[in-house]
Amino acid sequence: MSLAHALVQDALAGDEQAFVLLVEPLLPAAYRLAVGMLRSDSDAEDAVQEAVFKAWKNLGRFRAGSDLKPWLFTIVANECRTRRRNRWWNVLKGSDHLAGQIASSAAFDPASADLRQALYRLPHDQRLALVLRYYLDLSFKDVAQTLGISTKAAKARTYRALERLRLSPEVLPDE
Amino acid sequence: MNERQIRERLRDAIGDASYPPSLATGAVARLKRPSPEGHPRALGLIAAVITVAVIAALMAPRLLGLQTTITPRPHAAATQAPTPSPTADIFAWIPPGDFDAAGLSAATALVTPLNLEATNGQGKITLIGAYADSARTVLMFRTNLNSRLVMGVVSVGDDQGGINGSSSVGGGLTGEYYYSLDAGPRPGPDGLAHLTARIQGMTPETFSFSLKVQPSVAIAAVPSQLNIGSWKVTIEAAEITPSVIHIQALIDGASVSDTGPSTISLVDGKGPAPLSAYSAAVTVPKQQLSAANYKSTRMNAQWRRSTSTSTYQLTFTGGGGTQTFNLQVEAPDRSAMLPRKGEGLAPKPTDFPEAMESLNLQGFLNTTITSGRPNSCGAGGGSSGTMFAFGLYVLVDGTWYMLSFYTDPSVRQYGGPGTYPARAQLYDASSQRLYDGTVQLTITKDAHRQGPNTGSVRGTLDQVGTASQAPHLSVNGSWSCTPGTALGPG
Repeated sequence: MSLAHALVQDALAGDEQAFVLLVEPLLPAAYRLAVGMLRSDSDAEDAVQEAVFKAWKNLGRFRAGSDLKPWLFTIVANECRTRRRNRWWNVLKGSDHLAGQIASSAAFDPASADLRQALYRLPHDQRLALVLRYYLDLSFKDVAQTLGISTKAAKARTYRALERLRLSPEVLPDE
Repeated sequence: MNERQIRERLRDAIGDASYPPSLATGAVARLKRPSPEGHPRALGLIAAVITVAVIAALMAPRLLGLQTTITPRPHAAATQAPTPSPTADIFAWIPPGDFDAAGLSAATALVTPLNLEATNGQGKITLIGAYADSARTVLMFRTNLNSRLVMGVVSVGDDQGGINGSSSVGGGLTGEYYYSLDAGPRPGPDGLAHLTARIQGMTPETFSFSLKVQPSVAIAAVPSQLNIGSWKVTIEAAEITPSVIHIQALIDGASVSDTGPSTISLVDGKGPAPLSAYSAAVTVPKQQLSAANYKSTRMNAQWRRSTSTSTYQLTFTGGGGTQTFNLQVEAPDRSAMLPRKGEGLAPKPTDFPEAMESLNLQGFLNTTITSGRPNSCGAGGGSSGTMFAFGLYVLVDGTWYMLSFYTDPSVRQYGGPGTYPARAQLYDASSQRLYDGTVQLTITKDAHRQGPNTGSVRGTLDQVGTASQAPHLSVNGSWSCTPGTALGPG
């Protein structure tokens, strides 16, 4: 039995430390995924923390023997979607100024800014496909696993998203 | 463009993600914190409830045309004796921000105020208002449980059983939440919908109340049948309710994955209107899916209604085709909107209760403020994170000014009493920002809704524009404010 397998078994049995050992190596990529899906670093950090919590609470649904990474990424992506949908209302008069501050603090490049805007206007699933493929450098097989669809569908979704961003792709590689 | 170029473009657009060293420890700490509602499987239950609800709602027959005009009964059929609800000024009971958050700004007069309480060992939740139309059911809660998860286990039913639909939860003021179900209730023989809202783990577990289901107006411009490329679309609902524009369509020829939020869009002169609700689901139970029926999808889309008359283009895209319809949506009936205090203007300073302060101002204003009228007080969440805000009106030499302080979550998330860098602004009576700067805001006591918050502030603000002669304004001293429903939060 591999160490990872043993840790999964222990985690499934309720060993929180084993779960932490399993998840910790995935956090940088999970955080990168959340940054790609959300506009704010702090939101991304919160989303990953909440996703890890949800993963722990729902670990009983994880099938031992399957890959933890796409399972966790799916939860992170869902958490990001929830956060984008359920924006908390904020009465603060200065919130616009605050948003301006955040926007102005980022390095500003008009072309990138346009593309960033377009990216965030994409439907969640298309944006997720692009972030997984090009921001996390996942293979289409891994993208497909995270999205819960076939590799062919993942490629099609990626292709459609790129077309919407007017980043007309050459033929995407088979993997 | 090849993959490498695409990768570079997207990485430039998204920017770098510097992994925060605190993330791992934060995630581990999060694991240690128990679910506030004390049910370890609550999150799974939420997902299950919502999943079942989405599928079942889209299977359920729509009940257009059953709305009635019977006068609402604000407190009918409560399972527990409600304490008196405010009726004279609903905004003193349900703050305007809660209506805005729930997408009910255009229908404030149609919200039924309620005052039904339930408790558990950790706190209390109060159902403070409810609203229903043919497209949605909205419940507004106040709670000191400090958890949105409580709302995640709400289930809503009427005389005919559970009302199934996709749902969402959002926050209004601190400790206030709305639960929105993207389906309307079914009225009983008396014309009212007799609703139950069940929240697991609370005592009592079920709130019972009655609501009028607000009527909708059909959108005549949208035909009941249309072809979009290879898709055959049956419009099951195209209506304008007091709160939303609602389209429900059965698409023959499209699988769920062929559709998405981009399948339907509503565009006005300012651009696409954001969807307030969207769901798509197969029309048969998943176990019965086959090659013959998987390309049949029921789609439900809603957009919050503007408070003014708007002209839209409603576009369906898919199946290799597109169809656009021009709509004019009239402003909501003015009688559906209650007048708000000082609507269209900044609230009057004297609308807010007085509080004792000890703030020394030097520079543009030279005075010691011993009392003020706080208009924001407390912590709250925004898309950028958690912050603390304190603002107050002060009267100096017969002129009202507003001083506003709030912690900046992009610098440091608010996490309880302490000293934080904070944005500070001074406004004049016409809401013109005169001074702006960064100060150190100390929160000594954050009593949430229970009592006064106190602290101190020190720093200097710089002049904005040419509104004054003096270049700086220094602020130094202690402050206090008491959170309340009339005050904005952080």
